[in-house]
Amino acid sequence: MARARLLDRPMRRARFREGFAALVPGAPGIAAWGVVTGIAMVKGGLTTVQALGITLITMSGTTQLVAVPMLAAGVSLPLIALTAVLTGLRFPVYSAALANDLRHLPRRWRWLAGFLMTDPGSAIYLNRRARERPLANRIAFYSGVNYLLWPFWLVGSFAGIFLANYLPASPKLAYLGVLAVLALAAPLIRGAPATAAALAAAVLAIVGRQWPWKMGLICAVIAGVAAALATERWQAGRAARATAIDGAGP
Amino acid sequence: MKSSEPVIWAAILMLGALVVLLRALYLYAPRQWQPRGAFAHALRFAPLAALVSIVVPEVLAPWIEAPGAVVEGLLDARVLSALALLLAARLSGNLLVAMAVGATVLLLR
Repeated sequence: MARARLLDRPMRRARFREGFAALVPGAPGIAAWGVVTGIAMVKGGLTTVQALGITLITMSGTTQLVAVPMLAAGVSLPLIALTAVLTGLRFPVYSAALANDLRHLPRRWRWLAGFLMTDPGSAIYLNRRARERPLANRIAFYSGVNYLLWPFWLVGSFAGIFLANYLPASPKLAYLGVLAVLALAAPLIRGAPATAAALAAAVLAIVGRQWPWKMGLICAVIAGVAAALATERWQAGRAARATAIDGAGP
Repeated sequence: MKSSEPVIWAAILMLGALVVLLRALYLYAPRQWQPRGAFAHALRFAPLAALVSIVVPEVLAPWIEAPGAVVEGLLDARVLSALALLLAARLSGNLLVAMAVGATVLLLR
């Protein structure tokens, strides 16, 4: 199925436009987030060219916000890579969820579909994909969502990068990056397992903050995941006991 | 910036490659390699644990640096802005509103 043929019929073009339309309400927010990330890149220590480079090449705000303070602190490349993988483990989850559709693209185009895979774009697509038939329409819709997201993100980021050059040097502006990561983490803390994961990870991160080779971060992630899985198991056990008691009633 | 120019560019290229690899992983991998069971659950929580463990020591730095100074730590712009952001996220449910509140408290404090 050639890429050009996916969009050559009116129905597919309509789905592509629907994808555009689905993203429009969130587009100003994506641009604003890009502005904050752009400012944090420059105030975190990157030059304008480096900030433009990391924005164009990674297209992942979280990865950028996490990596730049580590570069500023002189952390080694393997440890930066490890941290990027740990914070980016949500991408394989999206990738697995989207694979049934996107695997039908020609191999040479799948990397581009992966490059354009973002948190908001994946969320919009996964909410809508069940309604889109046939497969080619779903792919057109995915393209519509993500092709619009990309320029909004870039325009916001570039504005932030150039704006940062006119802002005074201040540690408070560099701290905007920390707040941005906190804002990304906050909505993920929903329900008991996620709360347990956050608490366990926070405690281990503080206790192990000076351990060598970022062992504190690794142990914090392992502890967080273990706490979440243990809480899920405990909840499932409690629900099973409650069902058994209800079933044993008169 | 403690990292040199070549190291920064090497990091940028490495991060770009890693992110594409993570995003496109299951678009190329065989179907039977898809995450299942406990591993799939673990994948769901790992990014949250990683983000929290990166950000918490930064936010609580005033208390970590001066453990006795409880009130001074609470009034530090880093702690106050983070608390304001979390409160705004809870009340509004909107990431941008939360960020705007946190940034305002940070810059005004």
